[in-house]
Amino acid sequence: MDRFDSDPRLSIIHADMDAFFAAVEVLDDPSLAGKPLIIGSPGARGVVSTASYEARKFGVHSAMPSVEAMRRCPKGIWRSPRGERYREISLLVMGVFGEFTPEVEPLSVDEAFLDIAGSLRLFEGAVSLARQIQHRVPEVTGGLTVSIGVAPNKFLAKLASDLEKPNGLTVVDPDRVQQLLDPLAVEKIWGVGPRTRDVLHDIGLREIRHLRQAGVDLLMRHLGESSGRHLWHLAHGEDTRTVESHHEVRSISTENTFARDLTPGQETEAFLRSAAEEVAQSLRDQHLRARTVRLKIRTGSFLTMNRSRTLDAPFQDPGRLYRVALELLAAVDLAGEGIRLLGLGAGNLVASDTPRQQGLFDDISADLRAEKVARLLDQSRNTPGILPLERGCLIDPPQQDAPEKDSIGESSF
Amino acid sequence: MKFKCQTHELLEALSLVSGVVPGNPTRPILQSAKLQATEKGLQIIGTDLEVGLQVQVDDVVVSKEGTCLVPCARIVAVLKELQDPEFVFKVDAAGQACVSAGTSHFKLPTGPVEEFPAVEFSPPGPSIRISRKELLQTLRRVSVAAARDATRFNMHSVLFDGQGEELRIVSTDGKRMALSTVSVVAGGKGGLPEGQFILPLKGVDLLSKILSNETEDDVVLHLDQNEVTYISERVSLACRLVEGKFPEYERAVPKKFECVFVINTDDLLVSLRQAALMTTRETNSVRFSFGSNKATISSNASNIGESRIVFPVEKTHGEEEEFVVHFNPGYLIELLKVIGTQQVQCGFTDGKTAGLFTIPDDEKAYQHIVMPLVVNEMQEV
Repeated sequence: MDRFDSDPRLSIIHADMDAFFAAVEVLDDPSLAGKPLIIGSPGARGVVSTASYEARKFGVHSAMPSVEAMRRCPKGIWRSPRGERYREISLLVMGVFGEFTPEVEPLSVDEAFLDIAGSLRLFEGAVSLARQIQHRVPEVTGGLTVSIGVAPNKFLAKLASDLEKPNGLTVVDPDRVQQLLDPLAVEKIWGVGPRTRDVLHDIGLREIRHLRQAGVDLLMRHLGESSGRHLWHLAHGEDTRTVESHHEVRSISTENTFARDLTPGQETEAFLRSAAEEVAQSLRDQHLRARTVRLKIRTGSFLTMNRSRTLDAPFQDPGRLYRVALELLAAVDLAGEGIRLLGLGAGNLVASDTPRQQGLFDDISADLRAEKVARLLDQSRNTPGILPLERGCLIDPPQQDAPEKDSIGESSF
Repeated sequence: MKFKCQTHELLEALSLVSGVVPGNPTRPILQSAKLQATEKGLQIIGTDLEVGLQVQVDDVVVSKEGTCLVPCARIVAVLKELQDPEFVFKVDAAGQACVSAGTSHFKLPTGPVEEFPAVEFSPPGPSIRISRKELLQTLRRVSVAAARDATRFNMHSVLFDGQGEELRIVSTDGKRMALSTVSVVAGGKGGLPEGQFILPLKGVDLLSKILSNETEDDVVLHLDQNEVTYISERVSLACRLVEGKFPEYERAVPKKFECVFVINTDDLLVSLRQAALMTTRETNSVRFSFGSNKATISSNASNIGESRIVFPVEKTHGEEEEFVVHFNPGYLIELLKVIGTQQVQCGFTDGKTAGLFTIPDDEKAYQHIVMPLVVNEMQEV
C-alpha cells in the first residue's frame, strides 16, 4: 500500500465504530464477550438498536422489531441501551479522531468524517494515519474497534468503511473507483434508502454501473432534478461535499427521568419551570434566541412522543418557553399513562442581535420587562459577593408549621 | 341518472368545486362532489361544512334525472385525461358511476346521497352591490396581508367592516396590514350591512377565483351574522363567517409622518428583489437609507454575500437628511406586486414604528402598513 502513502487525493476518512453499543456493553461486562448480544428492549413494541456480530449471524440487525429478533435468535442476550454511557465513550473516541485532525464531523455517536488533507505529511500518509487511529481507539477506550474507509471524498469513504467490518481498513484506489463501484448494489450508496431503491429497481437499475449507463436525464426524470443529478455524480464516485467540523449549536435542551411516573400537575409544572429557566439561561449565555419549543414525553410504557411548536418571533424568555411547553403537554394524549420522562428544548436558533420583526398589535413592554429581569438574574449570578437571585416560582416554600388558630384569618384590624 | 356533457365544461365546474372539497376531512363523505342532473341542467355541489359551493353546467343533455355522490379528486383526474370533447355519465344498476368517452370507460363507486350534508344558499338580509373588477382588485390587494397560518383563524381572514356606504376591507397577520375603503350601495331591500364580518381566507380565495370568471359589471354580496353569500346564474357560494375578534385595526394605522417619499413601483420592486437575494430565512431583513432624491437598499448575510442597490425617490415631506429603516423584503415585494399603480407613496415616523405604503393621491383605495425590524436588542423599559 506504499503507493497510497504519497497520494494527496486520499484526504477523507470515514471512521465507524464496530457494533458500538454492543461493544460498550461487552467492555463493561466482559462475560458477554463472544455471545449473541442484542441492545434494545425485548418487549412487544421494542426494536433492536444494535446487535453484536455473534447475533448478526442469526440475521438480527438494527431497527428490526424485537419480536422478530427473538424469533431468529432465541438465545440472544438482551441489554437496554444506556445512552449516557455511549455518549461518554463517544467523547473519548471523537477525542482520538481530534488527535489526527481538527476537521472532524461527527455523524452520530459512533461515526465521523475526518478531513486529513492537512495531516497527511505529519502522519506519513493516509494509510499510516488510519492505522494509527485503529491503534489509538482501543488503547483509549479499553478495547473498542473501529472500521475505517480512506478515500478521495465522503461518499467513497463512507462506502469503504462498511466493506470490511469489523476492525477493517479499506482504501479506495483513486484510479480504480469505477471498478469498485460498478458491481455494487444501488442501495450501497449512502442516501439510497428503500424508497429510492424501489424506484431504481422499477426502472431496471440494480447495480451502480446501471446508474452510470442510464444517464443523468433518466435519473433526473425519475428522482427529480437535484437528487437525480446528485446520484449520477455519486455513481461516478464524485462527491464535492466537504467535512463540516465547526458545529453550530442547533438546539438546547434538558430532560429528566422522574423517580416515579407522574401525571400532569404540580410536579410536571415545577420541572418545566426549572427546565425553561435552564434552557433560557443557556440561550442568554450563548447570545441566542429560539423560534421553536420542543417537548419530549416518555410514558411509563416507554412510548416516546415529541411535540414542537414554532413561534412567529424568536424568543429568549423562560416564561414564554414554559407556557408553550405547558400547552404542548396539555395537548398530548397520555391514554391514562404516567409520565416517566420529560424533556424541554429550544430549536431554530438565531443570534440574538439578528434584527427582530416588530408586531403591529404587540405590547412589547412585557417582553422588555422579562428581559430586564433575566439580565438582573444573570448579573446577580455573575457578580461575586452578591447572593444569587432566584425566581420565586422555582423556590420550594419553606415547610410551615400548622398555623395557630388565631394567627390567620381572624385577625381584627 | 344519465347525461351527456362537454368534457372541458364539467372539468371546469368540478375543478372549482374541488377548491372547496377538503383533502383530509373529518368525515370521508366530504371528499365527494354531489352531481344533480335535472331538467334545469347539471348542478355540482361541494362543501367542507364551512364553505358550500354549487356550480351550474347548462350545456348538458340529461336523459335520465337523478343525484349521486362521486369522489371529487378522482373524477377530476379522470376528466383531465379524457381525450374526447364529449363524454357520457351514468349510474348503472349496481350503483356505480360510469364515465364513457370514445374508447375509454371508467367505473367509480358512488356514495350515499342521503348522508351528504345539506348545502343551502339563502340570500335575504343586508347586501352590498359593487363593481366586480373593483372588488376583485381590492380582495387581491388586501388578502396578501392575511396570516397564512390557519391556526390563527381570526387573522387567517379578510375583514369586511360596513360603515354606511363605506366598506372597509382589511387583512393582517400581526406584522403588516392592508386596508382598502370602497364605496358600496345596498344590493337589495335588506339594506346595507353594518359592522364587522370576518371572512375566512379560503372563502375569499374561492370568491376571487369565481369573480375572475364572471362577466357581469356589478356583483352583489349578502352578508348576515353567520354567512356571506354570493349567487349568480352560474355559481352559488355560501361561506360561514369566522367567529372571533379581529384586531383593532384602526389603532394601527399611522397618522403622522416625519418623512414621505414617492417612488416608482417597479424601481422599488426590482431593487428589493435584488437585495432579497442576499438574505436568508433567518436574517430576512434589508436596510433602507433614504436621502432627498435617492435611496439605498443594502443587505448582507454571512456565507451568502451582500448587496447595495440605489434607486431614485422623490421626497415630498420631511426635514431630516437621512432616514434609516429595516424591513422584511418579502412583505414589501408582496404588496408591490398587487398595488397595481405606477407609483407608491411611503410614509415613515421612525425606524421602530409602522411604515405606510399607499397610492399617491388615492390613499383610501389602498393603505398597506408594515412593521419594521429593529436591530438593537436591549432597550431599557
